[in-house]
Parts: sequence; structure tokens; C-alpha cells
Amino acid sequence: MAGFWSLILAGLCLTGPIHSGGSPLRWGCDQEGGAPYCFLDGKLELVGFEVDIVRELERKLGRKIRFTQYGFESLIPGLLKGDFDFAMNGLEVLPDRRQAIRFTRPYYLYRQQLTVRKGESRFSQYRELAGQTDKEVGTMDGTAAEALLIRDGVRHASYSTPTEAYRDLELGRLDAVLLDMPMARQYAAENPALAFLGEPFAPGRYAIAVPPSENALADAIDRSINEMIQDGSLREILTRWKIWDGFNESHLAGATSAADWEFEDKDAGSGWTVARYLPLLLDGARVTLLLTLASFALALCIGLGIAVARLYGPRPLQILAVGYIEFFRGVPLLLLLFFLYFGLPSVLAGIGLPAIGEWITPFAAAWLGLGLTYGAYEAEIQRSAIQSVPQGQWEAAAALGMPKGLTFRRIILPQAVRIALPPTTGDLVALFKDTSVASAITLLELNKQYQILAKSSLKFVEIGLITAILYLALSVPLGLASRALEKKLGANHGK
Amino acid sequence: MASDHKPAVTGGLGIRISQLVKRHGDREILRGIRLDIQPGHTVALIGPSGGGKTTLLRCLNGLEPFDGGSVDVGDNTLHPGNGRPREIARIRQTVGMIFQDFQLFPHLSVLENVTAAPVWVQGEKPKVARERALQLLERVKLADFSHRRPAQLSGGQKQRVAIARALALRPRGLLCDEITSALDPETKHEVLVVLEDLKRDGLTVVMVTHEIGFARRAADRVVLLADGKVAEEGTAGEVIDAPKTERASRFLARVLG
Repeated sequence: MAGFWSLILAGLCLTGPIHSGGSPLRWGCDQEGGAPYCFLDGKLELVGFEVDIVRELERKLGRKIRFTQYGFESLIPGLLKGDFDFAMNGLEVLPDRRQAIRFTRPYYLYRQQLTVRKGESRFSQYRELAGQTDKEVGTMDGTAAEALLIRDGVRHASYSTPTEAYRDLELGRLDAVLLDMPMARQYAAENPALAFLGEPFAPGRYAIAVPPSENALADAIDRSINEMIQDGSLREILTRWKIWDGFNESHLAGATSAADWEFEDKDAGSGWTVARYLPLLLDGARVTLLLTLASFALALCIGLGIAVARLYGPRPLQILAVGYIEFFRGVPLLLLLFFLYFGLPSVLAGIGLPAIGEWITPFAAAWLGLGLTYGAYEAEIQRSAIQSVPQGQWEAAAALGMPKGLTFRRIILPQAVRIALPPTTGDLVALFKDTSVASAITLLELNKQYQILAKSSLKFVEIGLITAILYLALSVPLGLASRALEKKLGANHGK
Repeated sequence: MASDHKPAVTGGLGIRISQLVKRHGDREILRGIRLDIQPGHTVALIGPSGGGKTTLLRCLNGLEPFDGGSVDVGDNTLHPGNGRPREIARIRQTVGMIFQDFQLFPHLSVLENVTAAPVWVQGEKPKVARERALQLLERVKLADFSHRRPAQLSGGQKQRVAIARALALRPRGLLCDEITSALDPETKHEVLVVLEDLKRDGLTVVMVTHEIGFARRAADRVVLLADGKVAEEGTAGEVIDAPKTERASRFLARVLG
């Protein structure tokens, strides 16, 4: 028995993340839109200043390091889950994160840079954006910049990559972008349409994240970074990537003690109380509800139109209707939303209609995408409902001299609606849940708010439970209401 | 008000069927039917199933397009093919139809079933249509049921609502397609009583029926249809009690047992 347990223990140790000296360390990082940190270059090779630092780290630690692709916004949960040994991807040292993970000493000091379109005259500094409902600032999921925008009450949209944020700024969908200097330099400095506004501010540090239990690994990395600072290899790498500046020179390279780089915006991010995040979740719930109702109304209209076209239209129209249904039932919703939000504006600009492209807000794209998709499902539900009204009803109405249009509107459709109600209710609940997909195009609906808040505060369980309660608080009344309607309409129904 | 009671019905119209042919693919369902129906007569169409009775009836108000011959209903004439919509619409407002399976509108109340066509098709004021509908429901002994839904009625009650619904357009003719076949003997009686009552108003009634007893009692003329042709035509006494053709005797022997 004892032998059995020691075998298990030995197994655990061998597969444990750190203690096996021979196996390579796993490095969690997101290469998608990751320039200049870590990205694929034109030759499809992984490059970036963090890649260079990791190579140097390999030499100093004497261990192989293997790259593991991981979504940026999930890096910290992934680290805690044990999917890799350390995370290094421009991770900012934020007070809330420090409670959950161990950060090494910094390898770079960043500051926030506000970027605007060239010639911006409506505001001249970041401060003016606070509380402005008509100005929107783009940033990235789970960054210090996002936490700053939340704290300062600036209306914002969070993207999963910087590319899309700067592109939407250029397209006029955003009024500014607030992101760490390395990204601003990479994506905006050379763009003639964009300009930096004001001096960089709100300094912070990039450090490598290690699980809290892995002190030995953290200490080893600390020593290696120290060596890289002392032998100048870190400065050499960062200079090559054009992000070394006087600020790093004095506070990082010239650091005599930790106090030099321990500047923390004291009130940034910390103190995730219910009172602080609940209003944000409630606002997300409001957007989710609004999106559900608006896109369902659209789906019902499209569904009825397509169903009628398919049943009574001339042959070519019938074929188009079938094509519509098959197309929108087959295309993944996420893909459709990406196309509508990120792709359609450039298509519209290409055919000389850039003005329409500006109307495509995240909400509009989500509304359209959900409406088009669920319109296809609704079309099939309504078609079969219309067909299941007995043919005799048409004849009885005809015998009373009712024209076809009148018969359809006043005799067939009201009966079809009753038949279609139960499957339509199911559709509504499915649509309600699918609104969460809109978080992928930066819409601040409930799911997106949850992700932002949970990842910033690391209170996955607590905020998750509250979010779940909010979802239920919306979907349960929705279900009850439609069941009541079903009962009311169905009560007197029959031959 | 009192003067409003009777004009629901304004006297029957004549129907003339000439060389009516109806095909279904290669099969001829009606093979040159000739029939004159006098205004105010009640005509019973009897005969074996598959003989073309229901098809003939449905040709009379354009529910079924036909392939040859013509049908005159009052002043309107139906020709082969899908016909002219205006002609058909006029006929449908002068000739009501009642179906074997009622086909009341389930989502409407009894009263709304009756007022639907006058209000929606003829543009009658809802208030006036309601008044008249209540009188018609009174006549079929269902005034107390005006706010019920069809699902809450018995078969006989449903069929009487269907009659009131047809009468609401002030028709001068009534087409009845086996209107008692789905009913049990007791409720059958309720419906037949209403039908006999209508006869007194001078309405022309064409009915497909298996009620030989009722046909004998109420019909002015009886037409026996077999294999898409008129096998025999005459008074009830002539056709039912003294059939001249072998086809007719065979059928009557079977149904009369």
C-alpha cells in the first residue's frame, strides 16, 4: 500500500511543472496581434522583444523554454490552472493580480499613451474624457489601461487585440485608444492618420507571472533578469525593438533598490467591492436584454418574410428564400459577427458607401447578426406553423368571399402564431444566450462585463455567481411570460 | 329592428350546369353534367362515394376549377380554368357554403365567426354586423353562445354556427357538403331542423347528403350522381321510391338496406 502511494507521489513530482530540471519550461503567451511583444513575422517565425528576452533567459537559466499559445485575456487563469509554468506577455503588475500570483522583478517599465486621429480638436488631454458619454476610448481586455478607464469613468470598448482597436480609431468608430507605450509605438507611431495626444502617463511594470507556490522558479528568474540588466543585454534587446527610453534608463537600469520601480498607482484597480462592480454588471445586463429584444423583433420580421416568400413567392423567390435559410443556419454566428463588424465597413467603403460603415456600432452589428441568423430559424418555424393550419380554413374563408391576402392575415396567421409559439419561445431563449457571442466584437453586454471584471479582479467565482443570477433573473421571467402567453392564446384553441 | 329579421334571405337564385367536365389527370370525375336548379328549390345530391357529388358542389362556387362546360349561378357564369376572380367573388357572396368538418375559425368567438365576412369583405359597420349576427344566432338557437370559442361547442352547435356564418352574407343560395355526416343522430336532427326552416325563406339549397330520409322529406328534387354522370333526376318520390335505372336501384337498395 505504501509502495502504491509513493508511486503516485513520484508520478506527481515528475509531471509537476518545475522540479524536473531536464524538461523545458512552458511559456504562456498570445501571439495573436501580439507585436511587438511576441508575434509571427512575415516568414512565419515567432519574433518580438519578449521572444528575445526568453532566449536570453534560456541561456541564463540553463533550461529550454517552450512557447505555449494562450489567449491573452486568459493568461492568468491559465497559469493558475497549470497549463504552463510562467506567463510573460506584457502582463502589468496590478495590485489585484499580486494577490493571486507571484510576479518576478520587472523587465520593462511601460506608461500609458493616448492616441487620437490626427487633427483631433475636441479634447486635448486624457482627463477631459472622464464622464463623456459621447466619446469612446478603445483599449484591450484585461489591461492596466482598461482598469484605468473603468476607474476614471471613461466610456470604453475592450478589444482582444490592439490591431482592431487602432483600426477602429482610424475608421472613426472610436475617439481615442489608450494602451501601453509599446503597442502605441508599434501600431500608431508610424500611421500618418493617427497621433499621440499628451505625454505618456500612469507608469507600471511588465513582469513575469509565476504561480504563487513556485518561489524557486521566481527567484531564479529574478536573478536572471538582474543579470540581464547588469550585463546590458536587456537594454540591448529593448533598444533594438525601439522601446527603450529615458524612463526605463533611470528607473529600471539605474535602479538601486526595488523602490525605484515599485511605483504603483495607489488606487488603480484595487478594492473590487460589490458596490463597484455591480453597476457595471447591471449595465451589461441592460445591454443584453436590449439586444435580445431588438434582435428577436428583427428575427420575427425576417422569419415571416422569408416563410411567406418560400411558401407563396414565385419560383425564383422561393429558391432565394431556401438559400437564405441554408446560408444563415450554416454560418457560425461568431464568424458572421466578425464579418459584420470588422469586415463590412471596408466592403462598404470599397463600394463608395463609407458613411453607412460608420453606423455599424458593435450593438448594430450584433443586432443585425443575431437578427439574420435567428431570422433563418424563425422562417422554418413559421413556415411549418403556417403549413399546419388545415387547408379547409383557406377554403372556408374563400367560400365566404375572403381574398387570399385577407385570409392569410386574419385567418391563417393568427392560428399559425399559436402553433409557432412554443418553438419560438425556445428560439428566444437560445438567442438570449447567444447574445454573449457579441462580446467578441467588444459589445459591453453581460458576458463581456463579467469577463472584464472577473479577469481584472480574479474573483471568478464571486462575480461569476452574480452574473449567473443576473442571467437567470432575465431568462426566467422571459420563459414565464411566454408560457403565460402560450396558455392565454392556447386556452380557447381547437376546432 | 323587426323589419331586419327576415331580410337575411332575399329569395333563391337559379343554377344552370351545362356539360360540366372535370378531370383529375387522366381520370374524368365529372363527365358532362347537365342540371337545372330552380330558384328556391332544395336539391339533394345523392349517390355512391366517388361519384362526383362533392366535386360538383365545389364547382358551383369556384372552389374547384373545371375543364369543360359552364356553370351559371344567378347572373354570373363560370367558365373552364381558374375563372375570373371578380366573377368568383360575386358568386361566393351570393352563395354560401357549409362543410362537413365545419371549418369554423378557431381563434375567433362564435360571434366573430359570423361577423368576419360582412365586416372584412363587405365593409359592413361592426356594430350593425354584430346586431345581425346575434339575430342569426338566435335563429339557429345559439344566441347564448355568442362569446364562446368553437372548441367549446358540440358538433351540432358548430354546424349551426357555420350555417349562421354562411347566412351573414345574405346569400340567395346555400351549398351544403355532407353537413351532417360528422354528427351523431341527435345533433343531426338539430341541424336538419334549421335547414328545413331555411327552405321556407325561399333559399336555393344544394346539398350533398347521405340522409335519404331527409332528402325524401325536404328535397324538391333529388339527383343521383354515379360515375361522374347524372344517373337519375326527379322528385324524391320518383328517384327514391321508383328508380328507373339499374344503377340507381342498386345504390338505393344498399343505402336503404
